[in-house]
Amino acid sequence: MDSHLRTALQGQLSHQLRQSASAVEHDIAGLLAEGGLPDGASRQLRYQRKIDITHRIAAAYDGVVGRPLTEQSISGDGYLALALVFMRSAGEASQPAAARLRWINSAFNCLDQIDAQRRDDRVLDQYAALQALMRSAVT
Amino acid sequence: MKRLGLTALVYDGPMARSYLGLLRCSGYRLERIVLMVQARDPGTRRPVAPWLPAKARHYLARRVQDLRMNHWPREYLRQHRAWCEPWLADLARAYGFAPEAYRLLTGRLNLADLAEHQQEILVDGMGDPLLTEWAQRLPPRSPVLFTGGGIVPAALLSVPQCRFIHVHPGVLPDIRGADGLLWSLLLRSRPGMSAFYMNPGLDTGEIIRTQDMALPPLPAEFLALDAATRYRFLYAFVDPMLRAVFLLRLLQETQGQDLFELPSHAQDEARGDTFHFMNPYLREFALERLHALCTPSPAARSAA
Repeated sequence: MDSHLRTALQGQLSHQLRQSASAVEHDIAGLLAEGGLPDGASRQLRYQRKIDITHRIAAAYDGVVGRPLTEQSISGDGYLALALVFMRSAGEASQPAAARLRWINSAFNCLDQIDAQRRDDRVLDQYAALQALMRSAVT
Repeated sequence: MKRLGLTALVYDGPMARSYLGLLRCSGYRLERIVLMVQARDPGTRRPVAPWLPAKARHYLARRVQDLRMNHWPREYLRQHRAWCEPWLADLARAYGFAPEAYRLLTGRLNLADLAEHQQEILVDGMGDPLLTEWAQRLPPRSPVLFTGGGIVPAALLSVPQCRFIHVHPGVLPDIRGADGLLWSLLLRSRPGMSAFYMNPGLDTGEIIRTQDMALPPLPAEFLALDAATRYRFLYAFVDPMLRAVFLLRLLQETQGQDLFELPSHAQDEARGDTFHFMNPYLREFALERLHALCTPSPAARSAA
């Protein structure tokens, strides 16, 4: 059930992010499509660090995901997709428990950034589905 | 009182007061204490009354820090005195210290009661050059207990005459970073402590000692609180005192040894994980785990 839900969410979010003007959201779309970015693993770690420490992901960064190039944050879709990327890593059987928990923690931090005022019905549905996935991963 | 060859570098708050209260109750008097008074309001991060004359500003900043940083222990003891005081006595019994150690959490911080030499410095963060200047004036081979959190700048750590000791609430190198107590509960099902000599990394310095700690007794009233309040309770009364108990054990075990150069070993930096603050949802899960693991506090049982 979880894998069907994950696949459906992945398809929807990939489609939405492809239409985005944000370089970071294109990056996240690449992370969603496994193997879609040549340096995906290290970029994913950098995004994890950003969300855990600064509690936001900017819409554009320099080449090494260091300095933000804009004050604007990514959209709710971007945060949902990044949470899904983190949850996929948390689900990898080869990951030790500590790393799994860190990915789950970062996924929850992504969900926290989705502005409650700006959630339309579609985002609300995807948000609820992803939250259910994450809660079942924790318990 | 036994004179302890140690300098404490502290910000006022439950952490510092737990160390200082427990050391005093256990008959130790520090060689030196340096109270860092934050030039910025810890709540708003705005400078405290920069228009005031220096002496008045210092006084006000110290007062603001006291009110902000010691708010929760005072408030909780006021609101929940009926079960909180017996619980603190249970905690003291469980970890083998006198319950009076908790008195300093809510009382007045009188530095002269705690150390031979006392100093207060108004600082704008750990990177303030005044701190490096202060460290450079210390006698050679001064061990310094740093009770705050976060990263201490390399410039301060590299002052040759001092060596900074820190107690971290997690077994290193496995659990580094923030919220160590909660991550330890999720990953190891028990609290753990480490003492280490600080280096510029986050909890990556040479390890002096690590130890697993017993789970704290918890009263039913604690378990009935909402997650955010339980979290604040842990960081007001449990986490700081566990660190202090661990430091006290270390001091007792190394009595007569030079704290500047205790036997220590380098960490394997490739091993272990660095954790950030725990998300409130996972935090709730960790608190549920604590609930499942802990025995009820005897005081709560008898009250029931």
